[in-house]
Amino acid sequence: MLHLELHDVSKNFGGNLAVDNVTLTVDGPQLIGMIGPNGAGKTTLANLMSGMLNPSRGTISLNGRSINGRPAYEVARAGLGRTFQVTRALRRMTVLENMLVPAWARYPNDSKAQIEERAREVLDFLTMSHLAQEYGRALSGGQQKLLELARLLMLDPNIIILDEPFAGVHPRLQQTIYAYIDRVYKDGKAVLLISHDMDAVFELSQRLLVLNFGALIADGEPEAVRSDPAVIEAYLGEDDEEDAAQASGADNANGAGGADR
Amino acid sequence: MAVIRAETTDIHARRRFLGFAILAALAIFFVTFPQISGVNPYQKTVVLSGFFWAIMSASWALLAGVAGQFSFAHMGFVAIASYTAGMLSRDGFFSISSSFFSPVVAIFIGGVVAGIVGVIVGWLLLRLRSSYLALFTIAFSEIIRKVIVAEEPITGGMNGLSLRPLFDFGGSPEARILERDASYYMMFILLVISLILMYLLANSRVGLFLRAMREDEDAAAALGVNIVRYKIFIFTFTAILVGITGSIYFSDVGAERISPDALRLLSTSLLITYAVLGGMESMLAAAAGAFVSRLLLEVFREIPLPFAIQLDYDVFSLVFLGASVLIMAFVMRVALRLSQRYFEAEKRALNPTPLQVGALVVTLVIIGILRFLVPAVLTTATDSVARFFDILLILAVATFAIQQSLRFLHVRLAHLSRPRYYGVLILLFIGLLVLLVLFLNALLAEQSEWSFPVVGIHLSHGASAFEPGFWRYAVFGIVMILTLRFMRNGLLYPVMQWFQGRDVAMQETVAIRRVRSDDDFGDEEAT
Ligand SMILES: Nc1ncnc2c1ncn2[C@@H]1O[C@H](COP(=O)(O)OP(=O)(O)O)[C@@H](O)[C@H]1O
Ligand SMILES: [Mg+2]
Repeated sequence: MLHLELHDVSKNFGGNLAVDNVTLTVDGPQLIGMIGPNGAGKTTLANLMSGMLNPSRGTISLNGRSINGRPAYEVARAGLGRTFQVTRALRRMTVLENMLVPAWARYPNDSKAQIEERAREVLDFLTMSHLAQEYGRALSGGQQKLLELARLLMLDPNIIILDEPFAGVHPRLQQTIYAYIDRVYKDGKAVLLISHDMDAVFELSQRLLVLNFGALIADGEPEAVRSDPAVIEAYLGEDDEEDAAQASGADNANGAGGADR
Repeated sequence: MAVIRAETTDIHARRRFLGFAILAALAIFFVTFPQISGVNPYQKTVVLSGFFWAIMSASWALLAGVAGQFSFAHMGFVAIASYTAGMLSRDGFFSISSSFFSPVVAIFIGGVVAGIVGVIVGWLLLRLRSSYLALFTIAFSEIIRKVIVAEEPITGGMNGLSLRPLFDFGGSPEARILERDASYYMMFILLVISLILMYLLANSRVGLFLRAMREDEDAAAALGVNIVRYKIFIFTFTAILVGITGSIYFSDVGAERISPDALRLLSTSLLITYAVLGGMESMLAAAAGAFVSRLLLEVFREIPLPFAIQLDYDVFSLVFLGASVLIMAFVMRVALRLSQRYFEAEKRALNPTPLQVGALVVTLVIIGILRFLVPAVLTTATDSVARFFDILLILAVATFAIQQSLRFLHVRLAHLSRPRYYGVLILLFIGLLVLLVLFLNALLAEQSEWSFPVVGIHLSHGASAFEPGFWRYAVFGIVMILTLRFMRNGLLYPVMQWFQGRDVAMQETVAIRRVRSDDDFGDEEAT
């Protein structure tokens, strides 16, 4: 089962309304892109969905059960996994041990050997089998991103949230991540791909969400969203449409960012 | 790749065998030790207390090194369990005759009570991390100590509470020997059992989750780990373990009583130090660190000194010293921040960077101003306050000098291989120590007295008033700081890594990488 529902969800930090009345439904396998300028509330929304934050108002339910006030580990075991924008490798544990954690949390009865075999396969797929015995702290930034993806496969969730997976990533690695997204989608999972860069997600997604100042200002087919005046306004201020078309066609203009947060 | 892995499993198996062989040999030695003729009761007691502290440090390593909970509450749990056991086995307490509770039952109940408090403490600590957790647990220990001291009618106050001995074979001298041996074996068995238990735990699924919790609680939770459960679990587990161990230790030979002294911050700090010294990521290393340190501290107590110096170091200068180290650390940080604005930082340079010199100057200026300002404002105790700031000034310069010479040495010796690097450093250190001793002796040969009033040191050529019992801790502290300067993970860390086959794993990594990069070339040609 794969069903995530947010109903009128808001989150404020003090006076700062980071997520503003968001309502959305994810039902069945799909590739969803979520874009929005820096500080739009994308990471906060991911934190809410994964149970790491509690909504100030509204309800979030996963597979028909409310996750308001539920701890993050329950959400993870119920089948929603996420990566972190600022990678969080378990630093004094090896890559293999990093991957053992979610697998064993989700499937307590699997033997270590079974899990390790799966882990080796995943590592092979992500072209990092040579790093199996490396400590988390010894990995490069890109490798740490891959490790997050690997852990997620081991958790085997139905809904995957990727928070800025392309930020600061080498093009070759980017190909690996594309292949990864393709794989999990074909496995029948829903993927929510978060980015502040429209071009990075435009090709990949079947559905595009746009967040601005915490509010969901668009939700629909990528083509339709791209020509939505409100979206153009949010991304390009007062500029006219011709500029907008040019800017979005420009090769990955702000792709090197990823410094938000 | 399969071949590489088969080879490594082979090496792993061999090393594990070697490790077990060494441990078995040690176990045989300790089992026969009390029977060796010529071993006197005092020595048995020393080894026994070595076992006790080994359990303490090892369980602390499990709590802090594996699960990441840097707690100072260890001796608090010991006290709770021991006092519970002691009160239960005391005549007339709770109007129950003492014979109602055999010592075994009393100790068991003590462990249970410690466990219950462990649940509560674990729960209270859920949201506290690192330094806050340390502070809370220090406070916890202190509160328990104060309560025990205050509730004299129940706890015996400062005098402590006597516990019914676990082994009571009558009062005859032969029976005493038997009792002592029984206690010895009891503590040894406890050590073996708890090490095995902790080893199994650390290498299980739960151990993996504990380590994940240590690394990053939020990330672990997002990966499905129930942080609340494991945090409470680890506090409860170690509380029961040290509670039972402690009440057995304090009800046995030598002690037979527990007093609030056991709860002093010094005891807790020492057991932590032993663990850190051995290597806090491994329970075995921590246990070894504690055992050897205890033995050495006992040996230091007896060692006749090569030269006779009378040290008259009054209590207040000790307090000054403690306070000044803390203040120095703070001032140094502030100074570094201030200087950072004016100088570019450049690490690993041969000479002190402008930044460091700047930090020193700022430090000296800040303290210098305070040195004249504060006594001028105060009307009383101006002398000792001025003296205090003098100490700070000296410390600032000394810290700078030590830091600079270490860095200078490091840069100069960086090209040496690791063993040589440490070898040269150790030789230099010993050389300096010898020079210092010679210097002091020469100094005292000329005039029989020499004092350095600023820091409160007064040396004189006298008979034997040097207090090794006290100074051994100072020596121990210096050794520890130097050790950790060079081996951050503890002395036994490399050994443990070797037994775990870390180097082989890395060779595997390199080998696979080589195979891989060949593949990569193939790929690139194809595209
Ligand atoms: N833990 C927090 N405490 C206070 N404010 C926060 C916190 N997390 C995020 N915010 C604020 O919420 C807003 C949205 O942040 P974020 O979700 O990280 O944006 P995005 O991921 O879209 O760049 C920002 O204004 C940020 O400052
Ligand atoms: Mg973000």
